[in-house]
Amino acid sequence: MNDMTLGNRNMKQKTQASDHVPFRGGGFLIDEGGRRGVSTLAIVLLIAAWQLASGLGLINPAFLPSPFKVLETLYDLALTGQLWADCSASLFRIIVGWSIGTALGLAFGVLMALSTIVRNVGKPLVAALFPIPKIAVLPLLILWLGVGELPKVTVIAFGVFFPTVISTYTSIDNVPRNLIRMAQSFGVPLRTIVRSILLPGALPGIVAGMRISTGYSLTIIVAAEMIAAEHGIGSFIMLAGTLFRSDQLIAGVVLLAIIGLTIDRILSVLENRWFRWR
Amino acid sequence: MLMQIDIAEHRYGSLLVLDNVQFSIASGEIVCVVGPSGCGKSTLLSILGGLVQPTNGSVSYSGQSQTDCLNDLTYVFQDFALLPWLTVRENIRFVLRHHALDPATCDRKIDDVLARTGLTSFAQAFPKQLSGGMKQRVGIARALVVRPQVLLMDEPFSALDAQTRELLTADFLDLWLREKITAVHITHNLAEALTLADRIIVLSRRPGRIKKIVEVTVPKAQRLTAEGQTELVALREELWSLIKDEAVLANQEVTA
Repeated sequence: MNDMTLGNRNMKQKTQASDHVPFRGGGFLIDEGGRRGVSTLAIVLLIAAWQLASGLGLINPAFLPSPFKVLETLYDLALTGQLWADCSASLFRIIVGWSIGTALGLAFGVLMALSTIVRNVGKPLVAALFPIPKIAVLPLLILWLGVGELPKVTVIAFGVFFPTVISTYTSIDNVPRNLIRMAQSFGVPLRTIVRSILLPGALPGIVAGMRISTGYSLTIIVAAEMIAAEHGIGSFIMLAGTLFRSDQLIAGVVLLAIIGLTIDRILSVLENRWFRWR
Repeated sequence: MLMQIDIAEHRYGSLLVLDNVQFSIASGEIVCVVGPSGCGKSTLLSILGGLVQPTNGSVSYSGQSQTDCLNDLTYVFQDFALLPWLTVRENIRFVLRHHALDPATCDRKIDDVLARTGLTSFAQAFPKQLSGGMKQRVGIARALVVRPQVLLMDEPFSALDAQTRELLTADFLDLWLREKITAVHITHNLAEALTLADRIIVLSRRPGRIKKIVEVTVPKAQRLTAEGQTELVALREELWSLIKDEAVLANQEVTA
């Protein structure tokens, strides 16, 4: 009885307070296209604050040099040719290692998706080997393959292989089964089903996996170069550290961020071009 | 006789799904299969097209040699099964690719079928740009392009809204009046079955048995006219009385 009266009173209050329905939310919608400028502005503001703090003497330049000092260092490194030597060494290793790891991972992932035997053999192997920090096998690879480029390229390929296998076979698994049934009911040969249904259907997932594997290869190469390399961004950062050159340390990190950003942009362009149908 | 279906039984594991289902399909005939959900309608159609092997029984087929038929038994799917990354035109071409046809013949066949299904101006659209009704038109066009002997239609209109369903049913009737397609049409919609079928096979709840085969004698050209509709009312009553009890019982089974 009490509840009834309470409810009635609430109803009355509400109808008196407002006649129109208030907006109650749209389900946390994120508008990817809107307010693009905000992200650039945030970075600019951050760097400006950093520069200002450095200029006012709030930050000890021995620990964190100003953005201008970092730019200057990058410029000097570019002039001497060292920037290009280190970048190209790292990029070469990443491109070769990533390509090999991705190609092998794709092939094995497709086999795992299609064959029960390969899957039963592969799943526990992948589960066991994937979580190993790949840098831990570098000394072993150096022992086997010598000190040249080969162990570094191999360790990247090794690190890229596993996430690629996983993203490939899970993406193929997620291709709707009825599309395959459709093709079978029209007598489409297996080869065409794999090439024209499974692979294009799995491609968005595979490219998403590439974002992760390119990130891995950057992490792995820097660590590998810190352990054993004459050239490369990793060894450059290592050397700068032992010489207490904080400006070069920051410059190296900035360089890595630029490389990461560039890879991300390239993948985004590919996604926009390939997946217009989505 | 074009197809002879003789399924003694079909099981999924120990579960009996179809029990003693026997019927035949004549050339140019539309056979509709109705029954409560879970009665094995879709399984039956999968068996007819060779996508599922019956546990005990066989389906025989005696297609006359029709030279331009590329795929005797061809499905139209409930969920359309279109490749989202291909345009309408490419989706239809997809089922022709593995037949060694010269490109000109291919294009001619595709143009022809697009025109017959009213899709010509949508040829370059991607599936996501189409409404459900248009998507199923593409599904039908893709099935017709291979000139099948029998169309196997698995609830082709049930993913569509009621109005689109009526329009597509009428269109399909039109197509039949022009081309006398042979089709097995699975549906749970009695109006659809009564519009299209020469014979309606009523299945019981699981395990699916043939409860009755109802002949629809009203000529197809008159089905959508007022007189035709009046004639069909009695038949509709009969069908519904056959299905209602089964549907109620099937419903209780699922909830229990």
